[in-house]
Amino acid sequence: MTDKELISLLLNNKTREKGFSLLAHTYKEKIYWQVRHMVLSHEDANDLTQDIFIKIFQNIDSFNHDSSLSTWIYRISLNHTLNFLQSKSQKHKSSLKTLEDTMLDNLKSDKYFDSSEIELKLQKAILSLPEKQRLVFSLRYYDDMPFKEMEEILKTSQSTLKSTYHFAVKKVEEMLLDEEKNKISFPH
Amino acid sequence: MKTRNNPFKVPENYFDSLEKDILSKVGQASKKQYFFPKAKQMLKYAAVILLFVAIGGTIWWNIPKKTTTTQDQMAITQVKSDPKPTSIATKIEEVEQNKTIDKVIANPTKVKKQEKELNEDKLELSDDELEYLEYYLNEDVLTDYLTYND
Repeated sequence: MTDKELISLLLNNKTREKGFSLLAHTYKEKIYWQVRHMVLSHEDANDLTQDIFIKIFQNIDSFNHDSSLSTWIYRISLNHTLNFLQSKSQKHKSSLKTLEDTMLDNLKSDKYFDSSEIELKLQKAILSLPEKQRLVFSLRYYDDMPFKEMEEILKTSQSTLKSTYHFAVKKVEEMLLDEEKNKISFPH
Repeated sequence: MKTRNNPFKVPENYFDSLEKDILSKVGQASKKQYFFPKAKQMLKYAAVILLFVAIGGTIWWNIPKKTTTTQDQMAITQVKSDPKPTSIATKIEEVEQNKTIDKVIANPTKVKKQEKELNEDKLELSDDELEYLEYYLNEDVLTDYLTYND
């Protein structure tokens, strides 16, 4: 089903339920993984994914066809995720540990994470990146998102995104250099 | 879903249950979405009514109250002190009488001329006509006039 057909189902009150069922079926996994790679915890990712779909449902009438439906959905998803992380970071300010340290500690005991030493080191390196670099790195490295699509979602030029990704990769590589440099390869 | 080097896992059949959870939550949100616009609309009407009441009250509160002037107070005192308040008809009558007196005082020659013409025509007035004249002419002025003509 094309985006156009899906939108026409979503914008019609009689077919909205069916349209939304199709939309959830199509996008649930992609949204979940985008969120999960940013928040790391399965529980948080699960809650956020459901919230994102509610947000999509509540705002579907405001979809104005300026971008594709998928771009609009991913933009909502990323904004919601970043807001969640910022809010969590604010709440975490009074704590002695940083949010990143807490996330890493939780990851170690997470049964839904392959907590091998090298994976934990990689996550530690990724968590040390500034937010924008971490987002771009995550979308490119884990979700294999083309820079063209990223440009539309983040409203940032492809050249800037490529440069951001390049710096992020360099930093992560530097951190892993002493450890398992040869075990991880990054796409260029 | 194609992902690279993904160390993250999910519970078994997680995505099937996720879809059900999403649709269930969206169904609940849909019911809320149906109810809240109505509540919002009612709140809007209530707010508009309150606004009008507030504006009306403010205007009413700030209108300068009509104060009683000295003249009004005098008139009130006069009315209160008058044991037999004069009726409007009597007042009009008094005003008419005063006008007649004013005419006579202002132009006695004209009145005299009219009287002379009446005499010349030897007009004889009936009792009713005389009574009518007496009624509209002040007694004192008439007496003065008659004295003056004598």
